[in-house]
Amino acid sequence: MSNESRILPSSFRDPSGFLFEREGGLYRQINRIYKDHYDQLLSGGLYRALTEQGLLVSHDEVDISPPDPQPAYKIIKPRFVPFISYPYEWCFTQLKEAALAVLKIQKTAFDFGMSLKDASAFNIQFVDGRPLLVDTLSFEKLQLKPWVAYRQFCQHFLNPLLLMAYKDFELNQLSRIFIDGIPSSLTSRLLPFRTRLRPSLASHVHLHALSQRYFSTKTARVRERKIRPVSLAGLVDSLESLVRRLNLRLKKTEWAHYYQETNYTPEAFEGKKKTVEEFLDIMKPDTVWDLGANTGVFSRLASRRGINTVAFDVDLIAVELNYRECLDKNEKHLLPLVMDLTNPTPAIGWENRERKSLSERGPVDAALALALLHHLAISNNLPFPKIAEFLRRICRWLVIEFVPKTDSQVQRLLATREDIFDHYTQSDFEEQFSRSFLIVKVAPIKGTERTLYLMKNRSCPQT
Amino acid sequence: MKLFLRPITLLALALFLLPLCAYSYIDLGSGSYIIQLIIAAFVGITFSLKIYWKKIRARFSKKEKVDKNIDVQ
Repeated sequence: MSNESRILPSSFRDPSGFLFEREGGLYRQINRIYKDHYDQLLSGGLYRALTEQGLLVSHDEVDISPPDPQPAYKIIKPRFVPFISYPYEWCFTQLKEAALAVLKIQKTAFDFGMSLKDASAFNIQFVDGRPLLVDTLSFEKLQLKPWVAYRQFCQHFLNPLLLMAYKDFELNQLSRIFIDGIPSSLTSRLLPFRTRLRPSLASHVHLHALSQRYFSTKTARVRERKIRPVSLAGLVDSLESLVRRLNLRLKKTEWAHYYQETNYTPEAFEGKKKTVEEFLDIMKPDTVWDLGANTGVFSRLASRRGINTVAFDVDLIAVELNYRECLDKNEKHLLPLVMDLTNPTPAIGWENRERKSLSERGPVDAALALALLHHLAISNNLPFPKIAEFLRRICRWLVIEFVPKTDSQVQRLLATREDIFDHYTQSDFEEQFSRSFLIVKVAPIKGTERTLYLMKNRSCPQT
Repeated sequence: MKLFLRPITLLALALFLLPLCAYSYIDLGSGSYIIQLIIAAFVGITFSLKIYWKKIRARFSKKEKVDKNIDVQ
């Protein structure tokens, strides 16, 4: 194998090919075992139909040496995906849109005599605000047999959506534990009894779980069974109708109304926005992460400039509202994601290398940490050096807001606990952060006691 | 939907011509496989009825006729 190529640790399950990096570019090797299917995807018109609808990642065939020449058929260079996100970081509507995209792809594939051979949620990424299938090797020629990816679709999409819709929206986090999707048996046990009375739910979840349990010690002669095309189409139609009807019952949360409950005057709020805009002019970043973005008001200052921006928030409802706004306004450069910064996404999967941690997906050009510091330092007892160290590892530039103890929002956090935070002072903040960052600008927010800082990471001053 | 329904009959014929050389790298799961066959048998019937119902409705729908004219042009 060529030394200059690095095969991605997430790309090993499918013998059809694999992803690799070379000289900063991402490529996919297609193996000869997949030749017939790939050729049909391209020559049969499905590739064109799906890429035109924005459902499948586009690619170019390139003439470079394969990293593993023996089984190689072709090398392709897929379109660049700005940020890789995972299903356990998506809100309900993102997962629902992704599920509907997979079913639409499957329906389109039927039209061209092909079918999805897998339905992994990890093969979907959000690009230009919409779900996109990024695995070109997910198709096979259609046969008169049951859909091979049915179980995977249920585990990766249907089951988490049902749990979020019928039980609790936080249950999407189960996808982090069950890397191949939430099992039907667990879903069946957790869903309320009334879901057993709906035929579509009873069959796709409860009977599905029963069947799995019954056949767990038996072997069915699966290869001999045939299925009619209309039945295959009906199955996908049934899943689509079920998913389309699912909705999240929104609750009022503390964070989702944060902007309305803030102690800013409208003038101070506008002043803060203007300062952030000025800092963006200085940083000129290509990528921005807004940490604690709420519904994305400040994220949009970056994304509306065409900067690829990821808006992280711990509150799933805030992320939900943010993504719905992205859909309504057809925003292409903003990606809202669920992220608990006190316990950020870890690396998981085989050898803990299959799915990346948050910091492995960085560093980002610029991070916004607005009205965040007091939540980390006071609500979560995080000392300034630990916060500075985390931020140093994930960003080249930092816009951070210092909120003093006298601020009413900090007073609210301290109302129910003893003040053990003697070091929570502006001078201590500046001293501790100066060890990792160069303070470039200091801008008090008029009409408040708060201050915005523009800082540059000392570890990478050239960017 | 129209794009989806139109090729179903062609697809049925095409399926017999395609070589059965595909393979599965993921596990179908016996239980999932059997329940899928059962569900597919039921929804296949309802889906067929749905197609015919849509065709009947389309025939009597003015809107659909206008759409057809546009297609012809």
